Amino acid sequence: MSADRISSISQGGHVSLGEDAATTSERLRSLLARPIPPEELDENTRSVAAPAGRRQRFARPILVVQLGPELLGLDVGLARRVVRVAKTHRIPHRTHDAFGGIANVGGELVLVARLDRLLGLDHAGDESARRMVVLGDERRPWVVVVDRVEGVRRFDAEQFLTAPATVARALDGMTEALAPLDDNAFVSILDSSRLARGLERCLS
Amino acid sequence: MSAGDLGGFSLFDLFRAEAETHGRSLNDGLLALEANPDDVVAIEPLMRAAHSLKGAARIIGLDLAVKLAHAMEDVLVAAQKGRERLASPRIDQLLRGTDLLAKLAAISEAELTQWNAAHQAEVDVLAAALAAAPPAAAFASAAAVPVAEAFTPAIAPPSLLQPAAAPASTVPAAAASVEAKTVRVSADSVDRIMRLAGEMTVESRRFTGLRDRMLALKERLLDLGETIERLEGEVGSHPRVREAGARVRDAFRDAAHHLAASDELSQRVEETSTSLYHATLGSRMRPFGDITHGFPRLVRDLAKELGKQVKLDLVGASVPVDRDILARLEAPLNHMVRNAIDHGIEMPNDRIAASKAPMARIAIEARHQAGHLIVRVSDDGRGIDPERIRAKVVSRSLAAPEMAERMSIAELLEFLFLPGFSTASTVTEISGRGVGLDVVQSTAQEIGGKAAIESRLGKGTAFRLELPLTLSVVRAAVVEIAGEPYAFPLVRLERVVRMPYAELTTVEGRQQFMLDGVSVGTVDASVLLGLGETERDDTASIMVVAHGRGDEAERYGLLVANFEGESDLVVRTLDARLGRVSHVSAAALTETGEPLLIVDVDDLVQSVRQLLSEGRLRGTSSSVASSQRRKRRVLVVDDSLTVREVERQLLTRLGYDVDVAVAGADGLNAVRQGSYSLVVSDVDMPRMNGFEFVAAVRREARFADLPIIIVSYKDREEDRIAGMQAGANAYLTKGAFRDDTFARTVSDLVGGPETND
Repeated sequence: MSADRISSISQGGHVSLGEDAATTSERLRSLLARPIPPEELDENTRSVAAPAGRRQRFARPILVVQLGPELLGLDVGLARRVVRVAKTHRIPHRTHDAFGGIANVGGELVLVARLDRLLGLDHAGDESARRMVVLGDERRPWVVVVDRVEGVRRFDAEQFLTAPATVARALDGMTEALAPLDDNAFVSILDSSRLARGLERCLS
Repeated sequence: MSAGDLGGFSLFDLFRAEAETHGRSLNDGLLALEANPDDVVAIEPLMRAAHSLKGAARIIGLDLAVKLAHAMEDVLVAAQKGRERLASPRIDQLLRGTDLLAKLAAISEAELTQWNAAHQAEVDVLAAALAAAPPAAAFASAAAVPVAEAFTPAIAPPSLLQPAAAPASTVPAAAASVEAKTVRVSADSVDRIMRLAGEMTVESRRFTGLRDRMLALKERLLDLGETIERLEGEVGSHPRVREAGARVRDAFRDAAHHLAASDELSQRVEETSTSLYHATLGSRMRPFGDITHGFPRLVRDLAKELGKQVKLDLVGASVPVDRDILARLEAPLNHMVRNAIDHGIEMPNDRIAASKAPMARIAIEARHQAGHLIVRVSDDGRGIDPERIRAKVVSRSLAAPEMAERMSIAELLEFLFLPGFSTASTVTEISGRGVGLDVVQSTAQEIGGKAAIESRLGKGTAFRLELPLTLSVVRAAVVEIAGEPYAFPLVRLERVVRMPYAELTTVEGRQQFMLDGVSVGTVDASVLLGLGETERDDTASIMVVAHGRGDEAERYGLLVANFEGESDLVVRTLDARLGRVSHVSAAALTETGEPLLIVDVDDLVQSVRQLLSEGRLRGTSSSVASSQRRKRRVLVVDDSLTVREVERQLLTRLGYDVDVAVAGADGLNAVRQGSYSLVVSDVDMPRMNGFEFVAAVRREARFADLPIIIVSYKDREEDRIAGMQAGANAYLTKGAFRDDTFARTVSDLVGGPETND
């Protein structure tokens, strides 16, 4: 992944362009973990204390992950957990190309879907950065492998752009909207219910 | 205390729990009392049970139950005070009352009003009967009351001459003592705890790796110390070098110390997690008595109905049995007991004529033996006449007369397990219709055990089930197939053979080897599982499995990539969303925590036989190069699971590779992704219907020539026209499955199931 994309996530300008990816993501992590500055706290307090009509809308928390060349956004209500990649065992006679098999995730055998194939993307990058993301509710979970987890980021839904018609109108399109970042980059926010349907289709 | 919130229970739930407990003690107590009517002391707990039930029913306003429990209590009070002697007909009434209360406890709160209306009359009649004088003991022959006792005074003091308490009466006591210490936990949460305990065991083994790395670190420190010592020798004693040497030695001592401590810790963690694991496994066990408490009543009622006298002995009510096995055992046990009473046990007069006691005996025993659970149901009835079986075997052409003539008694008795094989000349209400002993055997086999019959003419019959102690752990051969771990349960394996590939020879180009003088053909397990061919190295690992029994059995050698060894696996059910997976019965984890699939050997052997008979499977051939022929793929689009399955099976049988899609949109997606030789679609589907789907497929130029069949319930001409206009090549109604129309149309459109391109 290119460093400028990561820096654009930070948006606040704390991270300069051109650093190598590892350092940048380290910085990004420390940025997310930093204590809230007093002025920001004051601003938030004012916002919460303001009458409902004037209050700014709460931003939507999105788990940003990278898969191949694209940044994808998963609603944190759907993406429950990020874990290390566990070995996947194929299921005989189940030949849907987006169905991976089962994997042991924290002692439970969970169904594995190939998000790369559902979206027509190819895995890329360092294998050690890959993670499994547990999706769906506790009783019917799925896991998918992503190339890198960037972290949870809040987006203001009012800034969202509509997905291109070739995706929005496509039968298998899953993108709900595009969340713009700096310099023309964006995160494709995946529609939870369309993604869930796509996952269920793996079982057919 | 509000009625709404009692820790998640409604008041009706509480009544239900009470009715269950008291109902069972009433039932058991009344039966004991019937066998021993003068045990006045035994009446008191029954009285209290009826009284408590009445109280519970009153709290929630169940008037019918109050009325019934009250009438029952009155009778019991009268009996306890010695005003009435509880003879068999009276006990019948009380048992009927108990049954009614049990039925009431089984319904849901919503059904209550309806239940009240439906049972009002019945309760009124029964309550009136209970309030009236005790009915006369009109049919003494069936009653379990010895004739002599009919002349004892109505008011009997607690007798010192009481016969020993019937074994049946000791069972509820034992069961009650077990129950007192149990709590109800959902099966799901026990399973989850067990999985976590298993994961814990796996994790604790990782300490070993960590320990090895720490050990290496310690060695490096030792090495460093020695280097510094040598340095000291070379440069002469320098205070800084001496200090460095001392510090390294300190570090080495510390490392050794920490290593020892962590060793001890890891050992403790591993031991504790192993015990946790075994304790959790143990919590799956329930006492055998859990399923037998209904049998004393069953035996009594059936015996009475048939005019027979039967005493039931229950042995081993406290023997722990895996709850999954227990659940499967109830139906076959019931069948064996009914069978014994109906067919095995003679009428009292016949027994007397055969110089037997008129009171027959049925025993249900459970015990652990050599790592197995043994369940035995025996009677001292008339036994089975082997000659009648022999005659039946011949008359039904199951064996040639001369062969039948040579069969041993044990071999003849085996025939009783055949579906539909019954020597009873009439079907009776008791043993049921059409349900044979084959159920007993198939259940035993399904849970990994076996069933056997022993019988001596005139002396009695015994059924013996030998079952695994638990279904949650299976001992299996762990192998590698197509690069992934699989396991074959050892009970289903005849042998594991490892031999050099070079020693396999061929018959008609199919590989085989000799095992104890029998030729065994090999089949590639990987091909059967649809995972491609197994790569060969020097050694062939072969799982030998059998179909059928004894000398007649067909043997198959399933070729796997590698035999890793035997292991005890904790069985996990596959995710329900997967549905039934062919050739796989369950999953488990390997010692390193990797998923593994447990092979359903019976299913696999069935497939081998079917594929061979259809000419679609050759044994593993000697040359690695396989035929280039490829199966044609068909896509079935239908929103009905049944129709989809019918079409899928039909096409699979015809030799095609079949994929399914559940709706038009889904189907379109699949058509675009896969290379299909044929598409079969329904019309009535939600959102995108069949006509729209076919039209959408046809709109894409590359699918202009793709054969499409529409199969629909709609048989009007306009529907047919709409289908053809949308672009279908054929329009069939679902009746086409009844004859070969469907199969012919498929073959006309695409040719045979195989293609050379």
